[in-house]
Amino acid sequence: MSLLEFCEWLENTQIGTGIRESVWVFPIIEGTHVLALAISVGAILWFDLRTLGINMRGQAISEVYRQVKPLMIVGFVIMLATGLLLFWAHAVQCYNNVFFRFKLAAMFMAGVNAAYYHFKTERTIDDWDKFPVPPASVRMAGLLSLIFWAGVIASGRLMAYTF
Amino acid sequence: MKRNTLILLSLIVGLILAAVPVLAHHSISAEFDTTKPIKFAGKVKSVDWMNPHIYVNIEAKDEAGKTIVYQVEGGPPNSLFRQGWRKDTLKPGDAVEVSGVRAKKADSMRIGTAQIKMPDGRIFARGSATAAAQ
Repeated sequence: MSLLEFCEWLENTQIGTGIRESVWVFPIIEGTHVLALAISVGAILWFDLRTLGINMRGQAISEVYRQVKPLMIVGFVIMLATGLLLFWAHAVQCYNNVFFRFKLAAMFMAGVNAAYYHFKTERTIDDWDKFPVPPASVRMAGLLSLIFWAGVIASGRLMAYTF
Repeated sequence: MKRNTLILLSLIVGLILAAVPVLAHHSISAEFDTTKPIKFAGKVKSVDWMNPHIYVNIEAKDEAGKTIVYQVEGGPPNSLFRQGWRKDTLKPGDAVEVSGVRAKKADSMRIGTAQIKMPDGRIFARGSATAAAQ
């Protein structure tokens, strides 16, 4: 089964068709997706601004991370779950949509950037945790995160114009 | 301090209100050209009752007499449902009259901002409340 055939099968399952043709379920999932995005990416934004040395410069970076982490995770899980449901309902259109591919690529890059920060850059955090403006490698992680998430949001929004 | 809170609050409310139509559907001008109106009569082939907006596939003849199928865009199921329209209000074979606008892409058979006049004279329109009036 090719990926496209899988998408065709998926959106024609009872759940896919049900969501696509629903009167209330689709707009509720869609609205929840956007609200969860605001929570998750909103929290990520504050952390990124801290790593860039723009905001909350008097707080340790680890402390800012500890504070925003629950929002990031809760928001992300809801966003992912609702996003998968929306994909379920429109798998073929997503497959054929160039902005959906951009969106996946930007999400992947955001993930790689976050993993690199946590597994590599963060190892030396004791040296710069309390710096108002941390070293360039840390600032770069914050800047890339902002760029990739902006890319995710912009391409997600553009999908709706090309459906 | 209190005044700042008030300003902030009204800003937030304003932003939320401004976002509502964006969540509802995309803009007409993204896909359609409002300077290219079209009117035709045809027969309903099928109805794609789906989010974020429905499509009514309508068979008609073009200027050369060739049979073509227009995909006529309607509103979202939610607002149509609340106006009293159902998935099976328009049935295959129904003779209808359509007025709307063509898509910007020349080869697109999609019709936007459409009004579909039903056999009994009722008008099925995108997001407007003319249903009962006609």
